[in-house]
Amino acid sequence: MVSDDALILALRMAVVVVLYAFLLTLVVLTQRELYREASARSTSAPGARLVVVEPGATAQAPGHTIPLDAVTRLGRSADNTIVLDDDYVSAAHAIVLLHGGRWWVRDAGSTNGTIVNGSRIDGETALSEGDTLQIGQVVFRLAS
Amino acid sequence: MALIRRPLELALLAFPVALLAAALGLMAIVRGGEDPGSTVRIVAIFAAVLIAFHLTIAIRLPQADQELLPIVETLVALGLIAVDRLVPGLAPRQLLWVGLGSTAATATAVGIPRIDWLGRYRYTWLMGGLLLLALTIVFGIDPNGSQTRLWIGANGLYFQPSEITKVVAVIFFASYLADKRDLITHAPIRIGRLSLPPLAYLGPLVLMWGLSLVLLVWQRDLGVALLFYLIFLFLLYAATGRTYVGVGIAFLCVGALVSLALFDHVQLRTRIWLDPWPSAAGDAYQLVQALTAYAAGGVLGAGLGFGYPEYVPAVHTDFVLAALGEELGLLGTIAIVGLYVALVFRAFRIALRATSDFAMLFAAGLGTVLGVQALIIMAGNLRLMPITGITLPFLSYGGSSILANFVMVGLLLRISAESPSDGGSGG
Repeated sequence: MVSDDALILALRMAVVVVLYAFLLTLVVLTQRELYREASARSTSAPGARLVVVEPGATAQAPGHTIPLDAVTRLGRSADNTIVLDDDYVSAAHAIVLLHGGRWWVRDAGSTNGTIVNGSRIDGETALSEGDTLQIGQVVFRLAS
Repeated sequence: MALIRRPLELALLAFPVALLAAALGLMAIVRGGEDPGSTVRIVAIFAAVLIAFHLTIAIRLPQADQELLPIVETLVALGLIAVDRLVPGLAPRQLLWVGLGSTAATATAVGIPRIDWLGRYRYTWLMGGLLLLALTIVFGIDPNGSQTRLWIGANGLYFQPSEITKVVAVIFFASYLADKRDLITHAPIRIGRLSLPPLAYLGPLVLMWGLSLVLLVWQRDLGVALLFYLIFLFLLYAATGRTYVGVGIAFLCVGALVSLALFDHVQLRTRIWLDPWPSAAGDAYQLVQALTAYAAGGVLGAGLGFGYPEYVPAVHTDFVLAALGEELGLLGTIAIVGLYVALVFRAFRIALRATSDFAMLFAAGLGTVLGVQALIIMAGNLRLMPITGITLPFLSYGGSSILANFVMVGLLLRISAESPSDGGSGG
């Protein structure tokens, strides 16, 4: 017959152990989750490039492909990831981002708007492979 | 088995059940000679509630986040342990509220058409919430002798409207900010080096927020007023990327000083926060007893059932952390903080995967409510800031608090179910 005291001690330890085992499990799960997302992002993120369809007034060549980062800023000013020197492009025109395994484009408050597949977008829209993206007079296509 | 679509959640739910069983079993032995049947009953009903919740979500919302519920239920288990330790007769009632809360959570998670639907009726919800708050002005009662009339109800069944207003306020802020996001981000008012949010565009938002604050302050529910203020600031940041820290803190100080000047209970709480020792036997008794309790607990704790939490007034509602701190020690307190961190983290993960601006801001807002609320209360319990009258989510005894917090969990589950998962378990 186990003494009451031993049982009490065992249960006291059990309480602490269960709590910390749970927290530790959460930490491990989170690590794995973040690692998985990081590697998924770097390898097979769909539609990882923009192909220049129409260069507008910029010096880009048609057919030229530009790889996309997780966050890619497009605009006329020099601090953008992709600098587009076209009169109809605003200094900060649009942002293309990878989020939840999909590509999205967000208008950054441009004067002439960001156009996806012919329609001007309002805020943020998902981009799929083959979609066309028009910034000013420059037209891109999303490709993998 | 086709029904095990959420294996991770099922596995993780073993932790809260094991915790409850171990702790309640421990207390039954310590108390000695007590009816073991009641312990077994409580654990069994708890497990049943968890399984029912899990199965409902598995059937109707299988893609929802799988780690959120186990974290919440672990906190709930700790709350049940605390209540059973402090006021044994109340444990079944707390369990009842947990059951009701779980039902409300599943009903919310499964029942609403789409998350974005909630945003469409933001004025309706908010007006309802403010009306409930206003009702406390007329019908409010004070069942705990706290000199604030914040409850509605009768015959032992009380309900605190501010808990619901919290949720609808987040819906309103999130929805409004999601719609007006671009306008607000790109047009701050600059005064020298300070940025002010563009009040013209934020008009209705500020009005609604101001109205909530007025109602709360009128009812002297300053803890919740503080919560509303901070949630608003945070959602503004989440929506626009601008922190407005300078202005935000400035207004907070102004508000704090004004409430200090206006309300004697604020003066009292600030005084005992700054220096409790002179009035340790009088006004500061509760706080000093709590501090003593932590000290008595030390690192490993006095052990469940071995402490003296009865020396802390209103311990099961306002100072649960002190009771758990004494009996579970620093290790226990750190674990509790860790659980809240995990909860907020999970909510933010859900927010980051959301597909619409509103869903993202909403999830972030809900996470902030839970996190900031826990932070404010724990800070008050630990004498890091003055005591406020709000509850520790899931841990404190209180029906409307548990109900509202469960509804928030249901909403978070729904948001996570509507987001693309990256093909992994746990979302």
